Amino acid sequence: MTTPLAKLNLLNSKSIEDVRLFGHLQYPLPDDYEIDYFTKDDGAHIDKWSHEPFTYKINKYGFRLGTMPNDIDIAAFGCSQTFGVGLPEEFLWHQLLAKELNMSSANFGLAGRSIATCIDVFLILSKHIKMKHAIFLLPNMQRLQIAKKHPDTDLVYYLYTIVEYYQLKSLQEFNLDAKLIYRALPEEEIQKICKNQIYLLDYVAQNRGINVYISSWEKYTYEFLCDLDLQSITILPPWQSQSIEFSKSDKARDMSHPGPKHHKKWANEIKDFIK
Amino acid sequence: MTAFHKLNLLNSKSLDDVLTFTKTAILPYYSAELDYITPYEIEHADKWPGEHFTYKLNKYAFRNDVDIMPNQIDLAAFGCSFTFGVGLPNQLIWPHLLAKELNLSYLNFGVGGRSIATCVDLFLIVSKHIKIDKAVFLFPSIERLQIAKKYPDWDSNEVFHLSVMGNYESKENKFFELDEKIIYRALPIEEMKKIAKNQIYLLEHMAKLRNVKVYISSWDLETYYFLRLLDLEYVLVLPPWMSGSKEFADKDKARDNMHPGPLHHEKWFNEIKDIVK
Repeated sequence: MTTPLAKLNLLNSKSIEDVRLFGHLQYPLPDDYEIDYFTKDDGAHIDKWSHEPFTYKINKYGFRLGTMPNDIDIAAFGCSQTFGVGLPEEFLWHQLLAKELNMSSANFGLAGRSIATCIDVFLILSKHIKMKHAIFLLPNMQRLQIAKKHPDTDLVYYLYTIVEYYQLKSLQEFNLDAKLIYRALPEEEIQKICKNQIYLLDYVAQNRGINVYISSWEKYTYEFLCDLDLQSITILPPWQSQSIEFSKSDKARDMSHPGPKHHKKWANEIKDFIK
Repeated sequence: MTAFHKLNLLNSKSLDDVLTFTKTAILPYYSAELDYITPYEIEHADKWPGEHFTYKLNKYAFRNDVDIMPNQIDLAAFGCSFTFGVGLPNQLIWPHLLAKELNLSYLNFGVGGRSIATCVDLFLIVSKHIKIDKAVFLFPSIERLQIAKKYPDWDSNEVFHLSVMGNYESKENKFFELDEKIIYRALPIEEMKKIAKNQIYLLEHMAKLRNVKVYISSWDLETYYFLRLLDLEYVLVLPPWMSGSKEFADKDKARDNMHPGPLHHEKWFNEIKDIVK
């Protein structure tokens, strides 16, 4: 049973089921499933993939996880890079980090989602799952979360918009005009949404005794994060390719997301901060 | 005033932070005594049956004549123009009536045209610096939005929190090149409800933490029904602000001939006084 929009208090979530509206855009909300490819590109470039074939096991909450844990050392939050589009689970930064630090980990990354959604998901999950460290690899702040009712049901979903990806199937299904949204909202409003969410994360993390670490794969967003007046959050080094050659030579199976070496590099750069 | 990036509403460092929400770029509404607030007031001044009155605004643009705020108050009133009292003398508006009846010290933090988001943001800042026993909110419509925008000057980094209203094109928004029509075409009503409910749940959380008793209502019926749908544990929902009839609404007007008049304020004050006391 999902909580209706008006009743969903993110600061006092009553059920872990609340997270399903952020993790799925299908109706009716699906059960656990397994798929071979996550995107069209993921299947289109299969001949260039030099590692073993792999599949995606997605649970009913939308996470690349089996059963939800009750207690975890590392909770990873983020978008497609944390979810691991185009890569098997064992190649992902949080798995590498957990292995290196001999800790348990859970992947709460959701492809395409915004900073607001990453934090909303944290607010819900950290109420129901005990976590020691929460690490956020945030997308660019221009990604937005927009609430909209499904045209055929009364359920309100938390959709996402990405600059220049105006034709996302989910947006069309919900009749949401992303291009118009970006015309309507000034840059400062987008920054305000982002900074208010991060300050809320800072406050809640401190309140719930969780060590929170943040970074971004986007330079402008990373610089913005560094400029905030944070109390308890640690800012990790940015996710970056050291050169264009490195970026071009290390790709995931979809040939658009960063490959295994990028994940390994970032896991190595941040491991000493987490201990 | 704290710089935009550094402004953490949950941990405000200075009461001056309210200025980013109350300040307007084109009207000098600070530390001033004004005869009229809107042009409608001048236009309809001859129909006003009462004595002439002025608006005393302190340095934060609140309708208080003191610049040095007290450390502690019994009652804080938050809202938009209804709470500020556009078109009415101070002694006829609900925060004053309520405080007088209950013998409470009070401050009016109402700011004309502001949204639910701004009312709550102001509470977050104010309640960090002033100990408040009771906070009463008379909210505007859920469709009013707060939009952050930089002052339109290359040399300025100052960000203003502007107000956008569904049926009103403001001079200030035009000055800031903010297109209200596009905003309302772009954002679904569910997004506006989401913004409002997240703010109200945050209000509830912080009020409980800071030991402030909070009461909320709205003069917009749709917004009021939405407030009643929320799963509030600590905040109390007061009766709605309503005109008893169309005749009553038409007959009882403020000096601007737009806002509700003194009888409306008295009516609502009478309806809520026993709940707030």
